[in-house]
Amino acid sequence: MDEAELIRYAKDGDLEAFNRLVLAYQDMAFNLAYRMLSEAAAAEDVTQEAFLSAYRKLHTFRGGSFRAWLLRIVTNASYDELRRKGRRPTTALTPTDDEGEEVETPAWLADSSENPEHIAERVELVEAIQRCLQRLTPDFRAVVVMVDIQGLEYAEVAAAIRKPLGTVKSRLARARANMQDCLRGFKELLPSEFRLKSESV
Amino acid sequence: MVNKLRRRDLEALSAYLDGELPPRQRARLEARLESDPALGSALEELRHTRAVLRSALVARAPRNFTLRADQVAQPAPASRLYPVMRYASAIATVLLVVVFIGDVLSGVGFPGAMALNAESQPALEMAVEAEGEAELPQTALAEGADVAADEGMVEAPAPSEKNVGATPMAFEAEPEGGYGGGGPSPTQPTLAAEDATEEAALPTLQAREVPLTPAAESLSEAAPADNEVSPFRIIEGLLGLTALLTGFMALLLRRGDL
Repeated sequence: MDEAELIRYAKDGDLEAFNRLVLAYQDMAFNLAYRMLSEAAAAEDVTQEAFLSAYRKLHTFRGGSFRAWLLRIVTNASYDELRRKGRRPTTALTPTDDEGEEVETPAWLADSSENPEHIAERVELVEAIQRCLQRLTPDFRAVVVMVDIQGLEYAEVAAAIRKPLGTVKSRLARARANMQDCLRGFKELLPSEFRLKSESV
Repeated sequence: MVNKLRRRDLEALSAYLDGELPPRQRARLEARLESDPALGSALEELRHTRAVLRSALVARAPRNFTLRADQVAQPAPASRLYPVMRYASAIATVLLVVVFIGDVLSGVGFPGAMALNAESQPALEMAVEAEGEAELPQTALAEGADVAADEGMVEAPAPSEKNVGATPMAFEAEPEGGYGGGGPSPTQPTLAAEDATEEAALPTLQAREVPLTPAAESLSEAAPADNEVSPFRIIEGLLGLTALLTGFMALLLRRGDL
């Protein structure tokens, strides 16, 4: 059963069909939420809420990119959470476990196929990127995450954030420039292969 | 380097990296890149930054976010009666307040105000008529006393001759209590005929007694009003009951008990 059929069945109230869509897109949805919020627990809540909202609003989906439509819901849910967080104390970027202890290598970041040294480098890189992402405004952050981390096309991003293509281009270019400046400050954290040429000389 | 670029160049380089630049702009940019090393260097830095970002692991979902049937179950829609009951309760409450204020301001159905009027008016009349009138027929006294007695305004013990003329207060009590049976006192004519001194004193006593007639009339008018239910009271009661009932219904509807 392809995606269009799953969507059609889900629109008719077939929860099983919708859950197959959930399984197909949950990594992408969670990743976007996590990049936007930098907090695994909050990202889980937002992802769950976004899927629930997507199921209830599925009748409003008029075709096109389902991925972009879903990411719009996740993005909006993340914005809502960010607004709520604005009224609460900020939390550490480093993931924590249930007891509040820092988790050096979150389970969802660990890749069993990599050796520990490589994993450590990856984690450092992810942390550096995440910290720099947090310095961007949410609008810029959403675009750079969707294009550079999620690999979406400009047109999909434009559909997801409901902005013209020119806005996507502009935001992405400026976000990349800001990320470049920020990553220079984390050059010690970055593995040598990822250091910028100008800094490694 | 990138920061020194003009925004238009930065956007062009970024889009060029992603193959999102229109052919004409792309050709123009490529021509500039060949002749401008600084622009080429900026492009390389931007390409490297993009590579770093793309190397970031995509965070995998820590659990499945599949939905359960109980999660997607829609809550029962609120009854359409709920807003009706809510507004009805509010309107009834507002009307109740308005009617109550009107009731208080008008004094109608306000027992305290009526009692005050009934007491103050004869007091004034008593003062005026005590000076102007010398004597009134005994029947007037008897009638006034009858009315007062009939209305059950006083319950004084039966008078004696000694009480008559002793004190105004004692005399005032006499017709009320002594004529309590409704008929004229058998002792009163005797007192007026036989005892001259007492007869001389009688006008004064009568003068003090006369105002009792209008007072008793006023009271006799006021007393039935107390027993009747004022329209304001009925309206207030109905509005209060309506406000309570509709409010309670709205509460039940909101909780989904109905």
